[in-house]
Amino acid sequence: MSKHLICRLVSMSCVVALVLLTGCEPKIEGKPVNLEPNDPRPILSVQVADADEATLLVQKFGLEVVRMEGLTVFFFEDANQLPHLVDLGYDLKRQNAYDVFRRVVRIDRSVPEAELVANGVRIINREKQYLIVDATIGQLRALVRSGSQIVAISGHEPRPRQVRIAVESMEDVAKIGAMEVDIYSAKPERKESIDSHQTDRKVKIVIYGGAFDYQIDQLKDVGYNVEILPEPAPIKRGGQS
Amino acid sequence: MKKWIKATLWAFSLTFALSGLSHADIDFSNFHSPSQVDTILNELVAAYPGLAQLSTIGTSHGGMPIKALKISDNVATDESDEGDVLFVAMHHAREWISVEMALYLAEQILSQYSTNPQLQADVNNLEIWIVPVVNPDGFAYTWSPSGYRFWRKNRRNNGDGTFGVDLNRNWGYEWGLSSGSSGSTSSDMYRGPAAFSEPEISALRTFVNGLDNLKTMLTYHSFSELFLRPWGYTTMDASGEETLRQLALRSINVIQAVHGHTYSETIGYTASGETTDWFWGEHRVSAFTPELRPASGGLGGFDPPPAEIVPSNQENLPAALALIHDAGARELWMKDYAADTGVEPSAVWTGTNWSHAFWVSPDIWTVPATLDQGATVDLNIRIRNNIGTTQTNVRLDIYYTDPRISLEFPNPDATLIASRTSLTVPSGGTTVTVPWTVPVGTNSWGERHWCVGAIVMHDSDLPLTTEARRSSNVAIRNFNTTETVVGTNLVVAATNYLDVDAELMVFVDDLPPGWQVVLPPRPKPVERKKLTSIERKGLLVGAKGRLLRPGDTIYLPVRVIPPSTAGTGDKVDINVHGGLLPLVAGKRTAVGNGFTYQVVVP
Ligand SMILES: [Zn+2]
Repeated sequence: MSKHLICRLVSMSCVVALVLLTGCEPKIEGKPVNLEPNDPRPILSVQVADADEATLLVQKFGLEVVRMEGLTVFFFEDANQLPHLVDLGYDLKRQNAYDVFRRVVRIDRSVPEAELVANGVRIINREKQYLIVDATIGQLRALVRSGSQIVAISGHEPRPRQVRIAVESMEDVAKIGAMEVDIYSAKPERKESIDSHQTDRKVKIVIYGGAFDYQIDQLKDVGYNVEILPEPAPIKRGGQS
Repeated sequence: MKKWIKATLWAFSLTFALSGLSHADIDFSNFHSPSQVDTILNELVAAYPGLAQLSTIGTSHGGMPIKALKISDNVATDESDEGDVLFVAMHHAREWISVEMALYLAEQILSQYSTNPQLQADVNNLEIWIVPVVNPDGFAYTWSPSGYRFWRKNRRNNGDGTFGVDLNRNWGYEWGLSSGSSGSTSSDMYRGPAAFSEPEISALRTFVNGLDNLKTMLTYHSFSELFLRPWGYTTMDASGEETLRQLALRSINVIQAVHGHTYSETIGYTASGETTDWFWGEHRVSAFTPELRPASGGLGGFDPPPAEIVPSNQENLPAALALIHDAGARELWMKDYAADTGVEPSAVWTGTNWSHAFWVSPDIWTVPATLDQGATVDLNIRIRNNIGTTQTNVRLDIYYTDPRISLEFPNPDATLIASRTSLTVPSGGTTVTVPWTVPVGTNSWGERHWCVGAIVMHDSDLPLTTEARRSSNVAIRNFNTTETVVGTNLVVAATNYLDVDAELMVFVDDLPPGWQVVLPPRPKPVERKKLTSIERKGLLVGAKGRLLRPGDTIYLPVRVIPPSTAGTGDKVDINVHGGLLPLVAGKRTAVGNGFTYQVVVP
């Protein structure tokens, strides 16, 4: 409850609230984050038409793909492969490793969320003391330089909140799925119509799923009523490990 | 429920379900841990050494073996003429009930083998593969005290502080779309850095590509009681939707008959890079995702009360066994060519052409044999019966269309001539006659040449694919309405019905001595700097044919040159073979067809 109140205040860029927040919060604890590239090799990128083309490049030339983002393939430079790629007419682009490698970290709340987002940082979840964000190591280095505190998640990965969303139609289910909500089940639930003059029953679909805070924001922004549920208690399984 | 399915459904499912209830060698009163699963697999192999064999098909990120249980007669021998059927479970670590289904299926097949003659015959005709845990790292993590019961992904170290890729978003068909997969490593639907990036999925793909004759597959998940078919990546129907739909409906019906749970056909949202899309999209292997119990709920649905295991297993068994029977038995069938014995496939792609012309079914013919435009003829379909007893509630669908290469039945461009349900096929077979008004005018490229396709269906024998050569339930026959005269150009047409870029190979054979056929030359490759994506892909796979984008149709003029000794009235049959090969990595399965022209010297 208080967490969401804080979130709302922050997202409204309420200066007073922000000063209070940043002023009263203790610094976050955790292990330092390595903000150097994961691999020292230079990185190149090419544009492809689809994933099949990228997979064929891997098959044909042994491209070691770092990541595919949209239609851009990031890969480690290999002198043996370059002539082949040039021969096929690919426009090779050298990439800055600090813009390619990313980290998911905890960051203190000194920087307004809107500013983080404007700088390309993905906010995953909001916790009382910190935000969990996904950003390039370049973005994170800049934040550290300007005074932000960043620590490792150290195995405590952000977990989606458990949500229940009642919607009107299967189109809503599709829309919510497209927002990358992890839908566990989406089944109709019969409900009496509120209007007593109508005798027919209205079918509602109830979605159970997992959503991060940024997704919950998006869901609410487009008008869905999102109910946050407690996570089921851990289950003890006797003697079967 | 379709009438023709409903009638024999009850007896069919009951046979399977009840015979399964009497065997309980494995204790399904609780979920099995990873080590218990290993023990059970070893015990099954020890108990049925002639029928079951365990192998390792690959290794997970964490170095754990991915095991496959093979069930077949002569299990130690690779019988390449036998069909393969694949069952996979545990793409998603928290979906423990899927592993229970895989173990139960294995136990039931093995324990019923000696007492259930139908199942025994099916097993003898097939190589059945069960991969109960494709995600061993994730499975172990859900059982580890330091892990997390509701973990979904594998345990790849993403290098950014997070772990795991959603293995059911890592398959290569339409991978990377934002529809129902995520590029964010924190997401439970993280698709991975690239298609097939995960060793678990790459291993399964390699294993599948090594199978000689895969006919169908199921990939078990939980939950919400669904029986899903392709496509996953889009809400549009797949090419061949009717074939997939009939299989799904039959499955839902036999599931429902056991404990009354009605599984739904659709999930309501999309999932790209998903398993079944790859099997259907690249290989035209029917593939389905049963989402097991419970029917609905929150996160706890992944951890249902253990009492749900047995009924979940029981109700899903008949659907699996029915698919095994479709794959293993040839009950009702039609010949693809005169010497066809019903063996699937009836023809294979040799790399340059088809081993037989299979678009010349003798079980499809007209009276009169000569087709005049606009005339109504008797179109006859001979249904053969291989089981020795009368089969009722048989359905026959008959279509016609342009005789394009890459043709499948049903396909989106075919016109339904007739659909007959509730047919009776006695032990000696039967001939079904329907009126067909021969189209007036030409087909889409100006010739009077048509292809008729017939599909025979029974709920104990459904086609598992849309390709005539791979299903004895599907047959095709080419018809000319007029003879083609030497000197005129024949036209070879092909449409890319695959959803991916593809290469079209066209060949002509079976020519008598002295006759020649001239195909137009391939377009010359353009300047390297100006290559389009499809041209690049063509170069990357070493394509020799013409390149077609999804939905593209191509018309190739073909000239026939008779020998100088040929005289007026001499005739020759020209068989045009075509194969459409997707421009993808790994095994490229040809989807194709051909057609036959009769050419006469004027
Ligand atoms: Zn799943």
